[in-house]
Amino acid sequence: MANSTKDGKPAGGGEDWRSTVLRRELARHACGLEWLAAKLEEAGDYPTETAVTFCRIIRLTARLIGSRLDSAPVGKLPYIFTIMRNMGQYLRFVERSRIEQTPWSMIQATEVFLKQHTPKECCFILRPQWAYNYSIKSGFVETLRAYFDSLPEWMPLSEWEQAVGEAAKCRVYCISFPRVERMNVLMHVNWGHEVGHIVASEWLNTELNGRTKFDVLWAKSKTGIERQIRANYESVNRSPQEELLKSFYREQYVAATMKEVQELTQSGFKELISDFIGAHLLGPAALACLGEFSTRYELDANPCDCGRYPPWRMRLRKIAEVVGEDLAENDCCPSGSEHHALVAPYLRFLGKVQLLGSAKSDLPAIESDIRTREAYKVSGLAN
Amino acid sequence: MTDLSESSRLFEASSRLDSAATVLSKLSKGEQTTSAEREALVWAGGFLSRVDWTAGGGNGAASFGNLAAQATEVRPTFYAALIGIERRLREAGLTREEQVVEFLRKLYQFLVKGGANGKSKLPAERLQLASTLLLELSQRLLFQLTDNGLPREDELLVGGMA
Repeated sequence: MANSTKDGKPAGGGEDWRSTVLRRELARHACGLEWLAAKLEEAGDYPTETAVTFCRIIRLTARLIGSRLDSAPVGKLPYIFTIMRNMGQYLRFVERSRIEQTPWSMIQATEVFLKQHTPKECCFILRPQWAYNYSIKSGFVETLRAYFDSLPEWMPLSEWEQAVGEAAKCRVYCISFPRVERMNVLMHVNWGHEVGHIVASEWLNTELNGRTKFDVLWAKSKTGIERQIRANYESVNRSPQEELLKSFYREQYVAATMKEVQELTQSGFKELISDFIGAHLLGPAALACLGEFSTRYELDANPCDCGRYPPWRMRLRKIAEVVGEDLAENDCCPSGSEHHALVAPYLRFLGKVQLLGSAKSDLPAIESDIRTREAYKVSGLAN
Repeated sequence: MTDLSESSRLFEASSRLDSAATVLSKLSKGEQTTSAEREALVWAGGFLSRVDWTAGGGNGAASFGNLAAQATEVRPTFYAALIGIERRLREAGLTREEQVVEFLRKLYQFLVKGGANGKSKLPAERLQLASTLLLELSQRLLFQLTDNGLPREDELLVGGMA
């Protein structure tokens, strides 16, 4: 890969020509992006102001980039492209959040609900997606800030802050839901879990003396995990003998596995905390919703094979623990009471879901892989 | 939740290492550096010392929060980049692993001192080799962000609730 020389110029013939064309391409790209963001900003058919603000940030950033391209060092042009490439992708969230695409009658109330439970600078874009899942994406504006902060040779961060103004301080979250469930309010109970993500991240990233809560937790287990991984490496003897970089192959394996364990731990924490919060906010409806949603999938899959998500069965079990007290049929809807006939089937459904979670057949999958075994040991997640 | 902070950390590491690679290349040709360029070297030196368990501080260096996360994310790619330039290391006369470790150790010392002359000074061919390593690493990190223009496989996949 490193077949380039530095000087700000890659090696090989015609690289000056390529850089000239790239700069021109980026100017055209910036211009197009600014126009597109302006068009969406003016569309005016959004349930809340967040989408408009977000478009403004992208428009102003694209304009700034376009106006400063001439002074960008050649070596930084690929990075500038990366910024614009990402901003272009962000616009898809805005476009799909227009009133005709969303359950508009719910959006404003939902945003009020979301704001009640999150820091005041948080604002939300809700949009449908064709994929059948719920998700939340964050860090749009923060990432733009970090991008400009990483390019001091080209432009100081303060120029971007000045160009974007107050909007640079907001935190935009995009919550996506399956298009086919647009009007299914019962499935949108999953939004409680998405709020949970914000709270979980805030909590895990709370700093004390320069260390986050997660740092403290991770530091306690890190050395032991590393020892296990090194022992595992030696036992399978992955190291190619007589290699110049023998130790580096081993370190690469250990580093990659440590990174994976850390990410599995973080992800497991975030998902389960988010489930707890969703369950606290919305009660047994969260269990019912997840019980229905998860019927589509394998309950005991290893997180390494499923985007680092805890097994569905574990999530059901943890939520059932939170809402357990609400589920005692005799307490909340005794037989003979006015609504018993109506509520009893719902309670029976919840009981079945509760039973599924209690089986604990997800734990062998966790134990079978050193990465999940160590990750779920860190916090006692698998208990 | 998909948090974009990992991508911004990779972006920062890539961009700053790319800057340091450019400065090392300049130094190898005997050119002068500016204070901003020396700062880029210092950053790269501090960062790589934390990333590299073998020749840097690695595990021993106290780093938390963003820097620790950044180092953890970059570490596997760092070793992959080093393995990726194995031929260049051999061509530069580094034929034993201890020599590679020593080269890296001296490189980090040189970087954290902002490329200053003195005991930690590196010869031109070593500076060029160092520039190659940093450039290799910065490119690999950038590829993780852009997929070098190719569609990402997981964009077609559907996961659970994130």
